[in-house]
Amino acid sequence: MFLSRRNGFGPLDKAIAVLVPLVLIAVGVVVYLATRPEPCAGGLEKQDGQCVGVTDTAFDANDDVKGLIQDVADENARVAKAWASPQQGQARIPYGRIALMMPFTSDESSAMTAEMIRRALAGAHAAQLRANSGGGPHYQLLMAPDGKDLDKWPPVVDDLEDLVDDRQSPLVGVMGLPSSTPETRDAMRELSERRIATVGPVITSADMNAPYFFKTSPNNDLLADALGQYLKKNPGEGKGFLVFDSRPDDVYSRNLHRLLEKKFGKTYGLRQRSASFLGSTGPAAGIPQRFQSAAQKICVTDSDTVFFAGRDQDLPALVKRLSQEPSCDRSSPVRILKVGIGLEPTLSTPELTQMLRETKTTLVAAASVTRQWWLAKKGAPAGLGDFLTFFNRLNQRHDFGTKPLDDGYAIMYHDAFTLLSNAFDRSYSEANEGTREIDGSTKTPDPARTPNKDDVYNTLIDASIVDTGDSTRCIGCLRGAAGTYGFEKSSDTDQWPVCKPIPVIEHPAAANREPQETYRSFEKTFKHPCP
Amino acid sequence: MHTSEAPRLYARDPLLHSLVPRLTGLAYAERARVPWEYDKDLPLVLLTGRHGMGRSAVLAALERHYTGRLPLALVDTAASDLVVELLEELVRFLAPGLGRRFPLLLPGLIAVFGGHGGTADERARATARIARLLIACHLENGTETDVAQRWTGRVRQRLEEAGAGGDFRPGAHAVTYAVLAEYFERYTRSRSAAPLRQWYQERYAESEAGAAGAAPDGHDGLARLADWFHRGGDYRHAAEQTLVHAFLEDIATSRSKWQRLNRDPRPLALLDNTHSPAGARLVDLVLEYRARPGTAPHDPLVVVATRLGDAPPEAADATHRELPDLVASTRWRRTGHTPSAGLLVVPLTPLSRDDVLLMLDAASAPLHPYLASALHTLTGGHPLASSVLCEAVLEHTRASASHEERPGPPAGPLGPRNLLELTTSDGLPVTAALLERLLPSPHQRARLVPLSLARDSTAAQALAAHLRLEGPEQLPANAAADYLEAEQWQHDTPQDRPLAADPLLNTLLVHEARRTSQGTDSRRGWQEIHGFLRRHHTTRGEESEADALRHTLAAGDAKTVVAALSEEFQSEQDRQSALRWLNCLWYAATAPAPPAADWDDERAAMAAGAYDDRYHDIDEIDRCINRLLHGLWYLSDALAEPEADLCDDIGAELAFLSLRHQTWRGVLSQAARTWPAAARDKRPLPLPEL
Repeated sequence: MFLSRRNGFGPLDKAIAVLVPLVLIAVGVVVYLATRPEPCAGGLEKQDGQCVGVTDTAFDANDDVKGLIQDVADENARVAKAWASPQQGQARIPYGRIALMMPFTSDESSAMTAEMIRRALAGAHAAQLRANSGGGPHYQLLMAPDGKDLDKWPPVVDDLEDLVDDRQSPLVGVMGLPSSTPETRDAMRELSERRIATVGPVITSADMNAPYFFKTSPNNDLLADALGQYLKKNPGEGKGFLVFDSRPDDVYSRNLHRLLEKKFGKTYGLRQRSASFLGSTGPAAGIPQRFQSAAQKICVTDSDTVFFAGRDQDLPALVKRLSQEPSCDRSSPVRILKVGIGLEPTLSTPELTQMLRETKTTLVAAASVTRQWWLAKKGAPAGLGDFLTFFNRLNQRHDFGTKPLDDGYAIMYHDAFTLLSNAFDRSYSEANEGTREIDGSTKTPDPARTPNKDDVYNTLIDASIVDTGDSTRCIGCLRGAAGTYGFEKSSDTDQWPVCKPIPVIEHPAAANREPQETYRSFEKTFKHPCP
Repeated sequence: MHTSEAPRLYARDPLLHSLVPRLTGLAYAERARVPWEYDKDLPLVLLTGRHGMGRSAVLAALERHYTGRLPLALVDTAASDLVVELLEELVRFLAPGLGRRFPLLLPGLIAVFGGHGGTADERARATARIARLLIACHLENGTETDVAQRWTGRVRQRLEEAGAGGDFRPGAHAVTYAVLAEYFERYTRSRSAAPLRQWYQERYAESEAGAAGAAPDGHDGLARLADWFHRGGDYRHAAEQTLVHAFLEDIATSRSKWQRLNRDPRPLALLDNTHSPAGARLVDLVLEYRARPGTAPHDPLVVVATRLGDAPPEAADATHRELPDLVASTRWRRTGHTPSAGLLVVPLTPLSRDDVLLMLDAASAPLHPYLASALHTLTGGHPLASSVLCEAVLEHTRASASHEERPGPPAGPLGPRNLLELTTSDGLPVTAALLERLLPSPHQRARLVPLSLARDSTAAQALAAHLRLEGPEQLPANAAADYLEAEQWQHDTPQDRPLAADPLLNTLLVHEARRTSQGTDSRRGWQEIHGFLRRHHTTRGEESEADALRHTLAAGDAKTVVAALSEEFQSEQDRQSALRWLNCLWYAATAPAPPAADWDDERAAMAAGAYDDRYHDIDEIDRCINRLLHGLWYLSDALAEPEADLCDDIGAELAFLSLRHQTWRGVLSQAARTWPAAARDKRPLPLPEL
């Protein structure tokens, strides 16, 4: 040891030279294994850098939903504890599990914006809290991130199916599937193949149909019909114009374009009076939102009824362009007609509202929800109050920003959850209904029978709107925050909501406007108006 | 060019690359460990050989390659008279490389040196040794002089404190005690000092404890050691034995278990010239220590010692191994309890012709094709002579290439015959340079040079008397022979052979005599000496006829020799005389060539018959004998190339003679057949069987 290593290395030196790195490596490995951050928290698995799967605990997601996710995880833990080890003197409370399958992360081109994710989760969680606050089974809200572009659904669906066979706390159904994309369609079909009841809260494409896929929102067809009813009451000058998104890969816009042309094309001569633009969502294909030509044509043709077949985020640009268009005389009012779940908060900013007022332009939107319900308390659905109670509590804790309800996501996700939880409640109570014995006593099954997903589906599909002869009655309808509506087994409705109120929103609202009659989906199929 | 800093060693690879690495555990030329051949008990390797066999060169090569890689000491034991001084040097070299620095030996050595009486000069030298020891063992820092001064001052102070009076002269014991007290109090902790004292105490348990007065602080054993050492004789031997044991035990304990398991290289002690009294004593003591019975721990010191001549005669149980045996394993094993059983004797062997060829490989110009052979025949593979001659050849080639003026043979291609005329790079004639190394005493050398011309001791004695060689001895020739025996050139000098029995030494001496010959008129001249020797042999009678002829020829007088041979050829008839005649012819032809100054070497041309016209006055038999004699004379030279033509001519001349004689035909024709072959092979010419 005292000499330089000019005298070579002995066996012990060599042993050390081998052992020391080995020990260091071993220690390193152990330390790494002990301290490494799990690739994905909450038992999710990593796919292409994103955490996907199904979990009832907290996991990595957008910063602004972390608190909310933690709340959900806490509630889930509480629910599980109430079943597994209830507090002294309390009965075990059975619970079902409802999976929220949607992206929990976002970027600039993702299917859901961060705000949408936040509100959607808030709505679902509010529904969970509401369901768990009452009697009957409790619910876990499973979070099932399927990738920000909705394309990582296959493993999620596999995981979900694994939960189906749980006898004690089965998977009740799946909700989420936020937008009408080919991936969503595949996921929907796959879930339907596996006979798992699935609820799409904000689906509007009329072709998103599968036997097990329920929608709480009306489709574009119904929304357009609502617009049609509005136009019948408010015909205006009858000079129509169609502005449509020319992106070939945007199924929603193309579907809407076709629909509007079909419904209003003849009446308003839209085939001759139309202009296209390139929408901002989707891969780069040129400069988007070029509305100059459309604005010029609208002004030149003096159109007052402009149908907009595009996505909401492009609409402010059109309004701005119109307000700047010099060829407009601005003497007569213009209406821009659109459809959607709600009114995007970007469309009701003070700045844009001011612009609309100056150009005498009104946005007319057929939607699932309207702010009139909670602002003016006029015509509000019966279920909205309960929802607001829970939602406002959440809003206080997490601050969802201004106009958190306007886009309708919170309300629609709430309704989707509630639809599934109600169905499970009903299935559960029916399964455990007391049977009258010969001795007169009632006996409930022991242990309690837990309905499975098929029971839930059967409950959902059971026609809830019945014709009593002199009126239409709703049995087991969903008293949701967006109205009281149900589902029918008939193939006409394709699991779209029946009797769903479709309010038409005018923005800015005209002063002293008489309340409009609210359109109800599929109301015409009944002799009597919806209940 | 190979550099003088790292001369290459030839034909020593089994020793350097196999044996020593297997002993030390460290490869000679690369940074790698080598498995140990011996786990515990180590043989003491003794390299033997005459002067110039490369003993010291081997040690120097080992030192060069192992310095800094393991604890190493190279000590010339001939430079010291005392074993303790050798121990001091060993400690000085080994201590820096060892973990523990001789805690046991150090107080012993210091007691011995410190208690040194003698002259002031001797005391100063002893103090300097103590200072060196303290510095080597990292007990003191600073220069040797400073440490020595401090030490002396402190010891003197102690003595003054002990003795009350101002002119108090301390006794030897008092000095020893003061020295020991100084050492122990300053450089050791009391706890660690106790076992050391105990060790010495036990070695002298039987000593007369009270006789010299009780030593303070339990220094009894050490004081006694110093006392015994200074008493001399057997006492000194016993003290030396104790110190050598302490040295080896220190070496043994300095190796930790880790070092042993890690196969750290063992310390290496290189002891040169252990034929010196102190060296021999040290080797004996080490061997004694290792041969002690019992299972005492073995010391890990690898000792490679050199010795002039052969192994000591008393080393009966020593294992002898030739160099090639060492390549794989020595198969040495301690076979007896005698100390010499621990000895592994390796005689250094001469170089081969191939080694010589390699040595000449660095020449910048093509050399004479027979040069390597001639050099090898001349030196017999003697390493020093070979290397000096090869160096001289290379130097000459280089000088010729750059057209430098140099003494010695003329510039241009170097013939084998000019080898001995070369000079070293210092300008010294090679023979003089070599003899200086091979015969260190200049006096004896000067005496041996002329005496080497004498054929035997009697002639040498006569020559010495004739030359009036001076010296203290009554018989200068005997004294010269004794010197050669002392220098291990020969064991006993045969009476009927030249003084220097070694062919190389003899050739060198003869050439030196030839070179230093001062003309024809000097008493010590070549001609004069050979003339005297011829006369001497003539007076010694018929038996010495051949010698007389040989000296006649050596003096350059070929004519007389031819005449004598011719007369005999023509007068004698019987077979016996034929043999005598052949013997005469052959022996006379072994005469050394006269100095070039007095004589032109035309032997080869003469043998080929080139100058036959000079001899038209004599008959053809005489001319034939003349050619034959010159041919044989030429070929007898060790440096001469046995050219095929010349050799064949010998046969032809003998065949011619055989046809010209009435009765010698059989003998001569047999010689005609056998001599050419023998001459070609440079073998001694065979005399036909009777």
